[in-house]
Amino acid sequence: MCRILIHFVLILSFTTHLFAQNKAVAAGEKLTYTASYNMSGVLTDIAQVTMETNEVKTSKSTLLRLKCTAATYSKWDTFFKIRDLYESYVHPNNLTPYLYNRDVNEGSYFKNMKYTFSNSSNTVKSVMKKKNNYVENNSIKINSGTKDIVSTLYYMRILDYKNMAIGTKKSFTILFDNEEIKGIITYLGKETISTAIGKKECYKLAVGSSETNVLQGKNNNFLWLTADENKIIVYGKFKIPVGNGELKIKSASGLKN
Amino acid sequence: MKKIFTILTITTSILATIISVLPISNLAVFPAALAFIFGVTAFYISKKTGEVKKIIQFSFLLTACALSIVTYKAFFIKTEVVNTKILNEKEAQFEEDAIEELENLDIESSEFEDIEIENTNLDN
Repeated sequence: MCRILIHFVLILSFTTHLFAQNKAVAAGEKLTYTASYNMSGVLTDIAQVTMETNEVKTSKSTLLRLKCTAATYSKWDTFFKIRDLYESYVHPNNLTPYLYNRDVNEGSYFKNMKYTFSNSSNTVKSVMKKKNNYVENNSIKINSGTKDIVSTLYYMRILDYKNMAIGTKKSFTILFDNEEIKGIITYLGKETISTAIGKKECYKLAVGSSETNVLQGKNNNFLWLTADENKIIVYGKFKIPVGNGELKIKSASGLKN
Repeated sequence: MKKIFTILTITTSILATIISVLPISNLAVFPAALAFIFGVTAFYISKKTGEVKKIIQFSFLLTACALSIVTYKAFFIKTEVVNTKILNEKEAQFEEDAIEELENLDIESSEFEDIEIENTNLDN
């Protein structure tokens, strides 16, 4: 009997689908972060990351523009200058992407990637531009629900963590460099942390692949989202070969709630 | 032994000075701390044998200079982003182009329905 019950719960959990409705992200929001390198507790600030939203009106619809920019601090500019822009035009209610643009400008390296999503046919028209007028056009077949990196970051914020059990995993498929990448976030519970915008109670998430056993501490990439209606990312920690990469919030304005 | 510690002191103090003038100046505290430890050891070993080489004292001075630069940069130099004019122009241009492209897109009403997220809650 017990076995049947366990199987029933397992099957139910596999087949359960959640409907995500955006109650956390609004137009006019601006989040500023500092990306740092941490070596044995000594922090070195590298770049400023900004996440902004604004409304975009076309004759047929009103969309939400999700924009992320990364720019190195002036002290780094002579060594390596980063001016990256990532943007996604999404539906304001469910953050479904329609258009994605990635413009990477890192010193001598330049790359522009544009995805035009056709959600009804599950295809993406991709245009890649590189130096010396190199242009590559592709049509990619994607799975239902595949998003770009920017809309996925924002999409994490509209999930219902309040009713989530510790250890719950959510899978995402991200289209990056014309390839679908499977990512998994694991909800690890609540944690209170000090940030530049005050002491915040947060939802702690582990970011990784399905094979990583995060509950046994075998994952090194974490995100902290405020445990309120806005669910903004306030802190991120990522393992790099020597030391850690950190993303710390500097300021937040224009929040929905 | 004295020679080894003297070489280590000189090397780490020079390294601390070089790092202190780079953007990663905060990390200069590691070679500076090592330079100090090696320097003190070299100093005492030299004192026992009778002669303290000037180079050890010079290394101490170099380490102190490196730490001063690190402290100055940490407290008085503001970390800020400058020269974002091109990026701002690009942002505006991209938005204009995107609106044009979105106008041509056939955004179907069915796409405005809530989308599903697969719940891969496993046996945790």
